[in-house]
Amino acid sequence: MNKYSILFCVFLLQAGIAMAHVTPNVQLAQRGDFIKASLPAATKFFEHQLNLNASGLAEIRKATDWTPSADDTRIYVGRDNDSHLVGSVVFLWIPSEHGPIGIAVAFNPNGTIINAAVTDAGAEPLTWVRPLLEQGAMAAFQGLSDTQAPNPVNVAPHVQGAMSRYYAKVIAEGVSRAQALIRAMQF
Amino acid sequence: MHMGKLPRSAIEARLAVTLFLLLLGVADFFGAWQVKNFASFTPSGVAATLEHHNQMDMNMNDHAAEVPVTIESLNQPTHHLDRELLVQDTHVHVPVYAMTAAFLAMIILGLELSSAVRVFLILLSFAAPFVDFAGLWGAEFFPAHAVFFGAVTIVGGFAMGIAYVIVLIISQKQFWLFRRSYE
Repeated sequence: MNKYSILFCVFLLQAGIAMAHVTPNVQLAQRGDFIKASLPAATKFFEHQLNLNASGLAEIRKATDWTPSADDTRIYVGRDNDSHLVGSVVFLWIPSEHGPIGIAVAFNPNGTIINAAVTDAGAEPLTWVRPLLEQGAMAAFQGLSDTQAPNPVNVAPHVQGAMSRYYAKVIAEGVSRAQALIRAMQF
Repeated sequence: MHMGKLPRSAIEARLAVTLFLLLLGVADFFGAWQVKNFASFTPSGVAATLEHHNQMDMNMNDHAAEVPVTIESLNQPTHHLDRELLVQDTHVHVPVYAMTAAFLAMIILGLELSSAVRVFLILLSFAAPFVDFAGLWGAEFFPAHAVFFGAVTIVGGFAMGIAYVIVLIISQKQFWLFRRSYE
């Protein structure tokens, strides 16, 4: 076996590691850019721990049947130069039939939604999520107070198809979880 | 099944096996690229992909619970494999692994090899998915030993790669390069 054959085999051996792969998600929005666009008046940004007490967790469970964990949820806050709260942003993963969806929701200090986005989606669910996003699905959540439940019917209502409507519900549920979390948090 | 007769088969049969193996090599190449993009080839990198973020603090704090971050750091792409995604990965990849191992096993049965070598290669092919996903799930359930299980995952990936390369070399040698006369 000559040296070229050996090199070819080494190349293929490396390629064989392929079987150890994991399914990547398609990133639709970068977290930093979403925070900056949502909180333009903020000059300092912080990651806020999920410092929930037992009653806060109970409220979230009651409202959403979901328990947040640091594995699936991140909270960031933006503050101005005087350290006043400008707003907060929740990033969370919500499971679905065909893979998790990454949701971002930005709130003003009163808990009103000022921006929302789908940040990540698996290649498979993206087939049904993308038509929703192209029809401005996330605008349905802007302006909702922290007690106004998002209605999936308002999420890109012109997009038909059972799976897209299913993902409209998934996205709305994600926003609902973010609202419940913000209600329970203290900044 | 007539074992060991693939090298003596018609040219179209050998051509089909060769093309299948080459196509599998292309799939493996892009799979490896995907691993590079979204996971890692090192045990610590695989462990980081599966890392648990156990920062849940049940006590009520104030600003002490805030850690400064930069917009640039938040834009760094990261790929985290949580339990739901791991369920999905297992659900999707294990059947593909099984079919790949089965096709490799069929080719192995057709090659001129001793029974012991065939048994070794078939075990290697089918062990790969078990080892690979045992490592991933081990890192999920035993985060304190995530680096060890990350190494197990990589061994699993390499196991299939090694089986593939051995089958490719032997088949090409027996089919085309050093083909004995069977007339």
